[in-house]
Amino acid sequence: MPKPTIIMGIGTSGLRIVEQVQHFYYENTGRNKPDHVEYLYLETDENSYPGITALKNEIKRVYLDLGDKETMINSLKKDARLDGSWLPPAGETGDNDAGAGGWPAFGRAALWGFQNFNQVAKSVSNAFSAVANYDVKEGDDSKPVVFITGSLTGGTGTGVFIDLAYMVRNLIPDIDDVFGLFLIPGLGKEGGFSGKETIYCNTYAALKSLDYFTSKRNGPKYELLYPNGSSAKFEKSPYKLVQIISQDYDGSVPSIGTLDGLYKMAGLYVFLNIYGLREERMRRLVDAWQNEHMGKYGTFGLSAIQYPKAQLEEFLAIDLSLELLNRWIDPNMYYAQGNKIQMNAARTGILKETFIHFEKLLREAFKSLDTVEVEKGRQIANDLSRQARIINFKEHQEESDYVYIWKLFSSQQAGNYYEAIRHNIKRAEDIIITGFHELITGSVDRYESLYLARMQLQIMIEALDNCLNYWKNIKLSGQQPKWEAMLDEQIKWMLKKRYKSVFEQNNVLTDRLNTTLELLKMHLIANKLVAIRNNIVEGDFSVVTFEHNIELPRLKVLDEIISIVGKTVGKDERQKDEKQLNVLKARKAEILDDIQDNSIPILRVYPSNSFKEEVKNSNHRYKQLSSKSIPSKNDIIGEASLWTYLSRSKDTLNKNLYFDCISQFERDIRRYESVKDMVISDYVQKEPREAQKIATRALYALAKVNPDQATTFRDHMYIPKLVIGQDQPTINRVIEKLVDDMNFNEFSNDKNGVLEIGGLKNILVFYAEKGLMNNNNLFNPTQHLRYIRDLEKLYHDTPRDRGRSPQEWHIIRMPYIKFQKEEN
Amino acid sequence: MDISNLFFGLEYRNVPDLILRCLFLLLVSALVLWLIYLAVIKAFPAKKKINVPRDFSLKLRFLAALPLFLVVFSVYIYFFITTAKPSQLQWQQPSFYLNLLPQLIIYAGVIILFLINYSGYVKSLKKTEVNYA
Repeated sequence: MPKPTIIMGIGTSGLRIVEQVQHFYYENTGRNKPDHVEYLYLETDENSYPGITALKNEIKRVYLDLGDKETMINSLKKDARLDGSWLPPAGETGDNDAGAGGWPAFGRAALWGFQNFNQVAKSVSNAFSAVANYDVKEGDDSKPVVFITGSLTGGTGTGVFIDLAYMVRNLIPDIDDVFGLFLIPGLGKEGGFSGKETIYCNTYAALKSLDYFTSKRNGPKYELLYPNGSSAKFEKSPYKLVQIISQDYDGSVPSIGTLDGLYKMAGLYVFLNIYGLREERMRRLVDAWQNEHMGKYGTFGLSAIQYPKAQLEEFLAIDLSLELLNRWIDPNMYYAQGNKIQMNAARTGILKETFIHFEKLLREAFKSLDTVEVEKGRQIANDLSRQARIINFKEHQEESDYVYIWKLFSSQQAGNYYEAIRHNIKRAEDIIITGFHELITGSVDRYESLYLARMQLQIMIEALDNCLNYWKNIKLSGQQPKWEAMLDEQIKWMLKKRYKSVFEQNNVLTDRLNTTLELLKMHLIANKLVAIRNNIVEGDFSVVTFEHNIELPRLKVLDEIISIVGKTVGKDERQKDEKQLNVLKARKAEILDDIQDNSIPILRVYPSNSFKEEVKNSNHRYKQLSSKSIPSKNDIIGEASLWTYLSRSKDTLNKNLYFDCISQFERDIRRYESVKDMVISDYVQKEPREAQKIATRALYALAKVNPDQATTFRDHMYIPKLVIGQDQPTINRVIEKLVDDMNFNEFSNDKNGVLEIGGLKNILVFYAEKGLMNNNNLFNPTQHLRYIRDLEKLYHDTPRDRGRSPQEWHIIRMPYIKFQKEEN
Repeated sequence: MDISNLFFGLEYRNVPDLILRCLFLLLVSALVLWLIYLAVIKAFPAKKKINVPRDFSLKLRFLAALPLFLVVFSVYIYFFITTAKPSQLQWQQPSFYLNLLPQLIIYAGVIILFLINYSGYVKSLKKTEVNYA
């Protein structure tokens, strides 16, 4: 029965490990986490966030704000209740600007400062509440398990990892199972520390601090008052068991080539622990602890044979995303009803259609002004015939018809047509803005081509220019004096030959008044059209309609969207200030690198023997099963408007595009089962030699030990050594094949050698726990790591090279131990 | 002078009689043309859907009225010729044509009027000015 579990990542490494846990869980279950598990991660780097996942990312970020270190440290120092002797000097920035600056003291201060402590406490309590109600039948098992993971190299992890464990113990009464999994640096390719002295010093300081609280000889010592006023007093070590792993293997096995590879192994380990391995380990380790065959420290060997179904799915999702985004930003082609069309060839037709659209728009805008009321109940358009009768039959009081008409249309008179139209001109402007918006929205939604929309917008500008030029030719302008001059000519014309002989004078005059009214509308809207044109061409700010806030599309916005989509695709190289940019091609390359990384102890196998072939087959299967020959926006956002989606927020567009494309395509790929499962034991039957090679790697611990060339790890019946797979027969087939064909009998198929986890698909894992040395001593990294003496020397030599006193160095690097005591 | 002589008289009498006949015929023709113009305007009102200025539509209807008038005038000429005795139709005599001068003036005048109006209408269509009258 699984126990309620909280997995906490510290710093960026912690995040990457928790992400791998989530990833492995998703691969095997189609969910990001089980109900009984909560993911948290603590971060001091404001730019570090959980990455994308096909489903909602379940990792909850707790940001430790280190914005103003100086103020924060001074405020902690001023708090008389607290023991501030460990606090670093306030005026310094650390080794670098990001997060805790590589100083453990800053990392610890980050946990204590501002509201950070309360925030972490609240997050832990919330996570505990979320999992505490998980239905556990056995009463004793109701206490949760907490895994804390991260690296012991930077400032955050090394500064926080001890306080955090005790904080958890303080917040969750009687909790026993607090486990640590920490990454330490390997020896490096050259085997030296050059250029990375501070990282190794932090590791040394962290291991020493951990041992200070873990080793029995020092007795109880964690007793202090937290910044929120609560007190903590513990006699036990912070962790029940701390696993230490590095990129280096013990023995002659080549190191794991990348840090990402190590994150993957750490993630696989934690994932297996929430998926059934922890119960099996605890069952065995209880005896090991009772018989002193296991201490507070451990490490492990881990390897696997895996069909990377999830990577395949993600890779395929990226391929489809690239196809889709490239469709959106193709400058030459677009799709109409499934046919690919050359944009240049279609330009003439588009030009004609767009011009017609513009004319229609302008007519609608003008028509909207006909209903403007010049007086209550008297709409302008209906008032003209009345005015014509008044003029023709001399029913007005003005000295002449000229004056009467002038008063109707002059800008110098109040309460007339001029004023009525001027007050309502926004109505017409809104229609034009809405029309432009609808043209672009409709085009983007229908054709999914941003360059086509851009072309249409440019044609609209051309139409606007043509219109404004025509108005200029007929001496129409937005300026009032010019209108007055034009009005003079209009009135004279209006009063000319009126076809009285055929009794048409009213109709003719009404018509001429109407013409003048149209000219008035043009005069009043001319400046608006110029503003609209300028906004489309070079506007920095959006113009919106009065109602509904409909935004006028702008070339800059379109260009910006095209640029962001292009960057998301990875058309241009990432700029220095764009580290946070999510790039599909880069992710694709990362997956390929990961797949091709032979340095990690995970052997990738495929039914067709090739990753690329699998992608090709899956792509074909996806398109066949989904009946979609071309990806479209419907795959990502359904029936929603693509323009609205793209123009919503430029700041988050890259992230949204990247996230939505990959996750939605992944969802569909899974729905259509485009990537099939693979039975790993079938591969072992065909390639037992390769299987044996990878199984052998699990026999070596992921930590180089044996500084004195005398002590190394040994196996023991109480210490778990397992083959983990989907079912017993599959595992047995593998073990028997390895024994029969390769004479490899390191793993046994008895009940202590096999762990069956029902949902574990497409992977077979070899696991060997380590913690007992061959001289029967218990593993302790401060004694048994291969480079521990070199680290000690480095730690004591470096301050001299950096111009710091040993005490200053100690305060920066080892905030958990008082300087004098450490010296003792 | 009886009224039938004013319309159908074929004998030349003197210049004042000719002028009188000419003025009378012009007056009647103007009246008939006006009636036809009015009838065309009322029979074919401007369609609201087609946004043609009233001035244009009236000019166009006037252009249409002129050929219609010519048709009516031709009918009159037909009767004018057929009601005459053959002895009255002295095609070789210059005085015969002098007597027909009012009809000829109207015939030619209507055609000239049509051409003038037509070219004026076409010109106004090509104008870029706001006011088309």
